[in-house]
Amino acid sequence: MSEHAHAEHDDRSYVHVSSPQTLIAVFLALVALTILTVWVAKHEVGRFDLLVAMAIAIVKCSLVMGFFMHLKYDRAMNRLVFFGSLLFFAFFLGITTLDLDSSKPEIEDFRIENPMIKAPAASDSVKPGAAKKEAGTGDHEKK
Amino acid sequence: MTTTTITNEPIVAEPSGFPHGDYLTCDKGWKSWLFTLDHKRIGVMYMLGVLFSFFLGGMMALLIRTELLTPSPWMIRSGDTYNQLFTLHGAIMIFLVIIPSIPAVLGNFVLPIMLGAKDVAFPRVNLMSFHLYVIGMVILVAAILTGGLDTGWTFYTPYSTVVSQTSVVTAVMGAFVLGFSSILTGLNFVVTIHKMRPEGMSFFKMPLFLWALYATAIIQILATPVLGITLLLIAVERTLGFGIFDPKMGGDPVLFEHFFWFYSHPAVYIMILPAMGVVTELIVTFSRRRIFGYSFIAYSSVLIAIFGFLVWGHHLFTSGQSPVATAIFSALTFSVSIPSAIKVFNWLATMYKGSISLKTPMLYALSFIFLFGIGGLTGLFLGMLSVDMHLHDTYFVVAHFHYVMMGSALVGFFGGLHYWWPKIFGRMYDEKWGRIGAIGVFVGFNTCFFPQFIAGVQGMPRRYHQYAEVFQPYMVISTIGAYILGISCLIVFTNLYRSLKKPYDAPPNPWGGATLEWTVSSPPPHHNFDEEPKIYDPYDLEAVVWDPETKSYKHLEGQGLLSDGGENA
Amino acid sequence: MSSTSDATHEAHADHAHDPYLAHHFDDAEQQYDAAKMGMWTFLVTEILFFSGLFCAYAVYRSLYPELFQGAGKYLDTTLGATNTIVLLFSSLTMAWAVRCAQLGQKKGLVLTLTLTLLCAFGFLGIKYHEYAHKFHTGLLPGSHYQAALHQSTEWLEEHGYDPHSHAPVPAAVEQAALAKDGRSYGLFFDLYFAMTGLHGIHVLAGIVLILFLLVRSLQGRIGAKNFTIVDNVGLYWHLVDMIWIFLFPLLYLIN
Repeated sequence: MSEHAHAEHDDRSYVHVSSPQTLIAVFLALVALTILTVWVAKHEVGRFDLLVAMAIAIVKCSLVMGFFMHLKYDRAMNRLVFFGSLLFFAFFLGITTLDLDSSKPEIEDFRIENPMIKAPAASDSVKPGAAKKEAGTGDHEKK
Repeated sequence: MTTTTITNEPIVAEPSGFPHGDYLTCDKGWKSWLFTLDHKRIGVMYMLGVLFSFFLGGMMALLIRTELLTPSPWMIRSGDTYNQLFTLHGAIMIFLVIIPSIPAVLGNFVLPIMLGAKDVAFPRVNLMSFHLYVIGMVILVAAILTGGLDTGWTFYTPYSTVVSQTSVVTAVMGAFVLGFSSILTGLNFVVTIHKMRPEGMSFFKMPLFLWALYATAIIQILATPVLGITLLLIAVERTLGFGIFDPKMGGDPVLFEHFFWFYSHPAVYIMILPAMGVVTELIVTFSRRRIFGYSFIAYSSVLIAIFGFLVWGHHLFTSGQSPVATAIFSALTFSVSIPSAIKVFNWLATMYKGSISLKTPMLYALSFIFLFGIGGLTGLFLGMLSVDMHLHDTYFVVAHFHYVMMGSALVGFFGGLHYWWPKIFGRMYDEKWGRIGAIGVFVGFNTCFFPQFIAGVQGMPRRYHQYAEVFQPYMVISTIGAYILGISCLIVFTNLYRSLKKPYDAPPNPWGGATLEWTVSSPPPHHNFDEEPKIYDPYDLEAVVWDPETKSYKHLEGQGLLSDGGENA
Repeated sequence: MSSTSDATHEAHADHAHDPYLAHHFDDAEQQYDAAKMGMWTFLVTEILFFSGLFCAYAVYRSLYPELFQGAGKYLDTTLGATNTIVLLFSSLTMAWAVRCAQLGQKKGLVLTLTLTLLCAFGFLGIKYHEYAHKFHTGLLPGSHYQAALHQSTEWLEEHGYDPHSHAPVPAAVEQAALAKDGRSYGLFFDLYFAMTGLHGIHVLAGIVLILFLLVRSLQGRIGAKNFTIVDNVGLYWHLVDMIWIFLFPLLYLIN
């Protein structure tokens, strides 16, 4: 429903201006949450890894949306538009994953028959005449 | 006393910047068209693009049907060429014709005027939509000319990503650009309908054509981006050797089918919903009755849009989808037929005891109801899991989707074209030839596609270049029907084209519609309304009567008003 | 049509004087509302655009968890975290830029936009560094994945391949490397490059938009009565940040 009267002058009351304090506070919260999620990832073991990481990510996004993107102060319709779309996103992901997960038993069977095999010890496959180079440059394994 | 005069002379634009000529004549030169911000001109340019593409896709259809006269190849020797023909026929018709047709041609023209507005919310985005449509068309044509496309319009992997030697990447890029065009049109319509309705016109007082466009726009916004990422991934797999859909590299082709159909099923509702909206307007105007069950039709449009997102798995019944998912999708597919059926019943109830006039647009509307009845019901056959096991990839499917896409969506487009033609171009076409064309399309269409149901049930596979002899009688009848259809389309468009050679002769309201576009001149002025318009109830047909002086219908003074343009809010 | 009233004429005259009001809108609030809603609708399309990649990630992580756990060690968490902070900071400066535009503070606007731009370039710089490293060590998508190139020099020399010669890796060595790792991580890097690549393209587009804003603000064409475009580009930029907020744990924080 169009709520617009013919305003004779522009009072701009519908525009929300963020205060610097709010912006900085939100930023610091976001940094803290980032540090938290890295810390949790280093220490937490188990099936809840992904869940905790996603929960923290959702909190971070809520802060960005609510304050940086002014969604907290905006028209309800914009919130509806955004969160409504997440429903369809969830359908897509959920039902597709549900369907393709059904092949898990077959994949398990394959794994049982074909376990991961480690390479034999290095001394078995040395070729004569290999040149010797400095160590370290080829090592790119990172944590 | 409110009267409208019809003027035949183009009026020169005033230096104040608000030209009072009609939109066709107020500005001259190709730049004033190619870079226009006027939604009406954009609609007309889309019309040219859509009709050109329809001709291209139609020619391919006739080639296919001619080839299928005999069980073994006679005209098109190579199976690869045949694959290219049905692929391109499908891609062109879907992406260049049906999806843009009603929203971009008729919607663009009519939506702002129906809202009493001067333009859509974002005129420059609208122009960009059109430019993207042209660019997408050029890229797709380039794909046809450079290597063709033989993957089927469905681009299934790994054939499209690893095996095919045709211009897949180019074609996919063309479709990507066209998808972006579609998204922007949908975005524009949603915001326009939300933010630019006039005083007095709540959501439940606006014409149902706008509800249809609104529901369509929601689908365009939510589904088309998924097509975008799917097409991008095809291109990336092909050019950069990614393996997300390739079993040799740990990927899954069924994942591709999920991605593709998550868009392409809602896409069919993008195609049908606007046509249903057109039919609602036609039935109302040509039965001279208020629509029966306004809110049911409004809600059913939105329900079709939402349910349409829940059923894509019915395209994967035979592809290796899990039994659980398959059963869920089969059940959900049945639910989507309910809102569609509600519309059909409401249309029939509207016509009951109405004062029915069988003008050309009404003939198309009646054709729609009949053909959509068949198309929709045969969809149920295919949604039923046990039956689909036998019918999948047969001609039954081909017949079903042609009944809904051509017999319904395109027939709806033709009906809308004939309904709004006097408004768009200010000229009346020849009514006799209009009716002949409509009847010819109906007869030709049924002759072409009904036998295909039978061939399909008897097991004839689709996309086959060579087929078993036992199916030949059906194929021959079908081809005869295709030619009748082709000739009828020629009649339809020749008739429309010839009307353009005349001077303006259309009154503001030749049919007696109650929506706002019929209150302005034919063609409308550049800014649609020179003053704040009076807002009328779109379904109060009794307030619209024939005025013999102006040879036009017009609203009775003070009747059927929702609001009178700000004078008395 | 009946005659127009004086009130309507006055309203029209007002519109003619407001240079920032498009002729098809009734008033500035309607125009602002429409622009905002349009932008949020566009953001919805971007979310659905990325949804395909998140879906592929969900499917493959569910089916092949060891693929993700094994590949996780090839990504540098520190660089990823740095990039996250960089983008979060750029979101702060962008939101500040919106505030400056709303208050008509031209100097502040130019400063905050410039800072945002620098952060964006910083992000892309770190990304380039990461990509370059992966190119050299065979951590590539799909058919380009090479297990041999990221093995240690000792292991390679023991298997008879000199990593500094840049010769093509013999098939036997590649097979041995794959057996040592246990599997090819090509599928993981398909997703890694697709997701970060698409995100990177969006960062690039954001850079173009912010540059455009910078030019406009230097020209003095943005002010308290005309800031909607900064607001909307800001919304886009925050979405780009939010997508990275999800990509970071999904790709870099796998145990």
